[in-house]
Amino acid sequence: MTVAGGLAVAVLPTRGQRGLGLVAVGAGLAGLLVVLSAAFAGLVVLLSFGACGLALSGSSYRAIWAGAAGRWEQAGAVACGLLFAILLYASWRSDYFEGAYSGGSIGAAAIGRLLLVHDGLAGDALALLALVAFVAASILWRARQR
Amino acid sequence: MSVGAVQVLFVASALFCTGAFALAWRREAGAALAGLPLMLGGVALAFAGISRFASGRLDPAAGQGLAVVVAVAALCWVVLGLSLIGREGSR
Repeated sequence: MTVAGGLAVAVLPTRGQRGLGLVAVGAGLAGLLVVLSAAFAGLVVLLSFGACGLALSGSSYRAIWAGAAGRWEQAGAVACGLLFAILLYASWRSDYFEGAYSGGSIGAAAIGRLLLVHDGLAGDALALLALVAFVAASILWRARQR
Repeated sequence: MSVGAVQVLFVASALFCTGAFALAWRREAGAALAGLPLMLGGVALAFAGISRFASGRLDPAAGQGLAVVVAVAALCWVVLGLSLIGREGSR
């Protein structure tokens, strides 16, 4: 579901289809994170990807079209395929250390301790990033309305 | 249901490369922007998976925390990117 949604986002032509694809990716990722005992992270990912899908499926932003794909874009697409093959090979052939997991199934308390206490500066930076992004987006959106 | 590190990294790699493909291939700005959350979603999944399977050596919550940070950053990028693209009918 995750990979199918990602392919839909990459190849489907309309905004609504791409938005639905992003929501599908979020749902698939959230399911995977729940299986990985990271249900709180899965909830955050689901909400973030749902919001991304809603924003990108809206018809109120401009369509900036740069013409047909040129030689560099084709080279970039081929490079993505090569990168995928390399990553698959590295994932398959690597040796992994399997540790015993002791974090519970939700993980909200552990993440809260990490982002609010142990790495409080990272939590502050994240909140500042979100604040600046949303305020700047609001200002830009309203300024272009005039 | 259980998954292993290899399966998680396969899906994370596929998601990252699909997002990179969308960024490289799509010529419409909104469509290319949609590749960014895909890439960051792959990164978030890889962080969470590695911390889950290497939790004997890493803090188990570290990867999950990074996944949360990356997911929120993806949303911020998309909102800011759409605002820079601009509203329909504006200059």
